Amino acid sequence: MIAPIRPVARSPRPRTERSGVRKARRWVARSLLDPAHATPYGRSITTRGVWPAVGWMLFVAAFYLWHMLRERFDVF
Amino acid sequence: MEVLLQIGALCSLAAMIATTMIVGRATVRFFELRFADPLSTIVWQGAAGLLVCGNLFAYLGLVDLLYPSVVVGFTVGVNLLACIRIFWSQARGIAEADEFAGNSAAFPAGDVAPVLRGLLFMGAAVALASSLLGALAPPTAGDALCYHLELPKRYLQDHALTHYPHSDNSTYPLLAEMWFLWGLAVEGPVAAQLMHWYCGVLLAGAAYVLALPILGRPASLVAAAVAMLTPGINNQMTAPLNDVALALFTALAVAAGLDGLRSGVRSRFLLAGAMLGGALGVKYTALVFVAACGGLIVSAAWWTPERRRFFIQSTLSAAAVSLLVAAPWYARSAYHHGDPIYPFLSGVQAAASPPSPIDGLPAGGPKTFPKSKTPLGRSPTVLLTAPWQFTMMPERFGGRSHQLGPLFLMLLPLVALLPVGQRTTMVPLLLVAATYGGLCVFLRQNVRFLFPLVPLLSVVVAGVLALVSAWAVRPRRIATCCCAAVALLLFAVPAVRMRDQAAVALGIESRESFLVRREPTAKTAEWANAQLPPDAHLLSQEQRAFYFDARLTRERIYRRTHDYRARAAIEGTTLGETLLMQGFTHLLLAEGEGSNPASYDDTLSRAVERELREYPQRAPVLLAEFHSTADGLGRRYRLLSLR
Repeated sequence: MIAPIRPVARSPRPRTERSGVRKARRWVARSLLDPAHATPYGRSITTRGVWPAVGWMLFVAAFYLWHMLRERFDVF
Repeated sequence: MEVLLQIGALCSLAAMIATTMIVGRATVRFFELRFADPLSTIVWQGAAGLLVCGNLFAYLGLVDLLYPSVVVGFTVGVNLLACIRIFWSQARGIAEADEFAGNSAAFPAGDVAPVLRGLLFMGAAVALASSLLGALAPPTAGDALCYHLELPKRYLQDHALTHYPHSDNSTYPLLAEMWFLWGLAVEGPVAAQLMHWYCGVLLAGAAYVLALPILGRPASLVAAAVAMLTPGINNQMTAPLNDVALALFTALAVAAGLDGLRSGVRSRFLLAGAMLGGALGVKYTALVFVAACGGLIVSAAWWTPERRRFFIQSTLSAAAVSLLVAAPWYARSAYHHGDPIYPFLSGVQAAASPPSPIDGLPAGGPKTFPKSKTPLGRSPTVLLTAPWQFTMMPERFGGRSHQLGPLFLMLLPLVALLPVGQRTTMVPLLLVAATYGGLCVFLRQNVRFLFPLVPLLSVVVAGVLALVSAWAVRPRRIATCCCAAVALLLFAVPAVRMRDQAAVALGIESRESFLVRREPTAKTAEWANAQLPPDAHLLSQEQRAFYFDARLTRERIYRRTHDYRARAAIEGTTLGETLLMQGFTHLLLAEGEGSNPASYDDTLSRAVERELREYPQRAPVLLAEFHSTADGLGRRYRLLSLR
């Protein structure tokens, strides 16, 4: 008779080893302690998000200039 | 003659800078500290020299040895010793070479577009030169004449760090005022003002030091230029205030702390502690910065248990050093007021007690966190709107002259587009900046208090500018033109601002005529200095006391503890007799007048008017009257003699 296959009881992972906590700890370690272990720098710069960024820059600059003109050049 | 005075001020500045560099170099060598490159070394030596010299003068003041001759002798002596050492080394053929630790940014940023880089560097040079010309004009800033220069002047006269019970500021941290005292002793108020200009130059260097391990050298120079171009920074460099000095020390504290975290070298934390101690010695706002940095350290210690012990030990070491450096100021305040951060703890305590029957203020001290200082309120949503409001409407938050400019609001959101590795290295700066900025928004909404963010955020802005240069052609050109237009505006601001001060800065106009034109109290002070006896003691609503030789007590602060009107009524004496018994000899009544009047409390003026009506034979005698619209506000000054 073949013994029934029982699922192997998985040992519960310790609280501190939950994936979210582990990720947060690795993120803090990368940002503060050792940036050389961060993800590689060589990720290519995509154009996604570039045009909204350009739009934001133009908006802020234009609004600031308009506000300054409204105050009659009294920036100083 | 005027040109000679200006040359004298510049030579005095050169001597003081040389002294700080010599003392700083000796300090750095004593502690065997090595920095990345020659420019970083100069910045660290300058800051260390300022810290050591300022604390030296403070200790001299605590032991009643603060004589101008001692201060000048120290300056001359240090420079002479350094010259002798240089000649001796050269005669012996001994070459003293500095060793550098080298710099290697983990993720160096690319170059900023040449056009933009050139504009930023040119703008920074224009801002530097314009602010130098502005700093060569006699000081006229209100706060400077109230206590930043007035207190050092009094300390030099008393040869000690005397406590003035009717001056709330006299127990503040006064490290920056020790440098102004140095300038006053060596040359005068212009040299004192130039010391804050020097702090601004070092602040740009601090932005470079912060950026170097993150962005590499080319982009770090851009970060320094961005810091110099900030309108509030190059404006404050023309006045003897202390916000730029605070930003200098907080930036260097963060630089040393991050270096310690990366390298694991404990001496860097001690250096961070010393810089933080310097910041605590400059202004109480540094306590908020300590809280912001502390949050970062606690988070790092919590999430990295393998290095928790190292963090705790290093943080305790840094805290001990910072307390040691800043101790004289807080101990002095605790000794005189029972409150180490007077008036803040006293103000919080007094706010719970009933108001004083004398003037309605909380008994025992001024309000410390009044609602009037937070125009946006204190709800959590303020954090979302504050960056926009502070950038676009700085006149609501301390004045347009202290604004940070639009560059930060324009470019900081683009940090999300940075490559992950580079963005990660900037996270500590952003965390500290966000925490400090958020706390400031809830405590006191003033643009000047955000100056410690400038070097931190300049690093991020430089990284974003390098990113922009790597974009495709069309968005790169549009973004570069937009940034160039803003840069042009930013370097026009200081150039146009100094047009009123250029003549006196270049020696074409005399300092006296400039003061008559720009300083409301100039004519009154000139008359008072010529006519009043040397031991005269004035009671006045005016706080701009620096140009008066006689002692001047602020009436509002005096009235907090001495209700002279009630005492006169109880004792059956006149106002003049009561004030004479309390040590005053004259009154300087200050009132607003005209279509744009200055704002003064009129309690003293009303009391004098009543006295003139009821006791005309015994009322104070009018000696002189002056009118001024020097700063655009109408004022009337009346000097009266008590009898």
